[in-house]
Amino acid sequence: MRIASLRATEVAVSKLRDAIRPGITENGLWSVLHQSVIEQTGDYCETRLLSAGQRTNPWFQETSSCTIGENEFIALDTDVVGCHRCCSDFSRTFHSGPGHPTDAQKELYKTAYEQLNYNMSILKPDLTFREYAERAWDIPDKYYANRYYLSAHGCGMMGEYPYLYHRGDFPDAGYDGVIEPGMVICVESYVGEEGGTQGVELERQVLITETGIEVLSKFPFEEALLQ
Amino acid sequence: MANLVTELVGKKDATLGLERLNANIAIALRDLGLKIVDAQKPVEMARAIKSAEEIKCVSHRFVQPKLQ
Repeated sequence: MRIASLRATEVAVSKLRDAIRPGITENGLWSVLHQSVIEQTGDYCETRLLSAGQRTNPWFQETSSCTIGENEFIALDTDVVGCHRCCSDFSRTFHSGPGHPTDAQKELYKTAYEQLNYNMSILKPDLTFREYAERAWDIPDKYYANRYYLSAHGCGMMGEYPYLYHRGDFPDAGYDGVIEPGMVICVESYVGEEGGTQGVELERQVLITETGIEVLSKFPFEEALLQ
Repeated sequence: MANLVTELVGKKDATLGLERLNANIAIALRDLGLKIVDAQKPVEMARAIKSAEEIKCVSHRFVQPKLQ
């Protein structure tokens, strides 16, 4: 039985999640993903995107030798070039424990989750990139400065065309086109206040079908952060 | 490589799109007379719509057929 790229990456992320403990470094935790990817005949990670605590805000701080502390966020964007050279691109944010998440942490997580689900709900074939930008979830002011630079993007052998921009960024950076059946799109959300101490990164990989979307990435979300 | 392109296309100054490879190869191919252009855009446009086989590789399991 040959395993599909996303299924293998989900196994790898599950192992990474099980390895979370205060005291491990970002690199040490991230290496668990790498081992499992290689073990399952995957290829490599396109980016270095696992960060913890303060290093989750702003986003895009690369995985380092910093030690993960207690009760902080650990945010991961897989960007795995996996089995069959297919990209598995989804993002999850975990809580290092041993305590319970704070209300502030839950608010960030639930907000990112809302952005993700809303934007997935408007995706459908024949929608133009401009229409998507106009209809996409309104980012609250306090999270706007640190928004992810895209709302969604294509995914194939790695991150690819098309890039779907936020409404506010479309005039400068966006381009128009049509969402078509057969496209694989990653819908992404980063939520963190400007100057904040932490942030949440979430992402799901979906297939555009003749009628709407089919969610391809199946890794669960954190129930403790959604309560 | 340049000879193969010339043979396939039928002319020495064929247009060749390149995506990701070492710069020195691109320079050498250009110096051999090929017209070098960036292939990223057409390649990504072509890759945007996935085949059923590609979707299997990404997400849906499939059983490798037994060798006869």
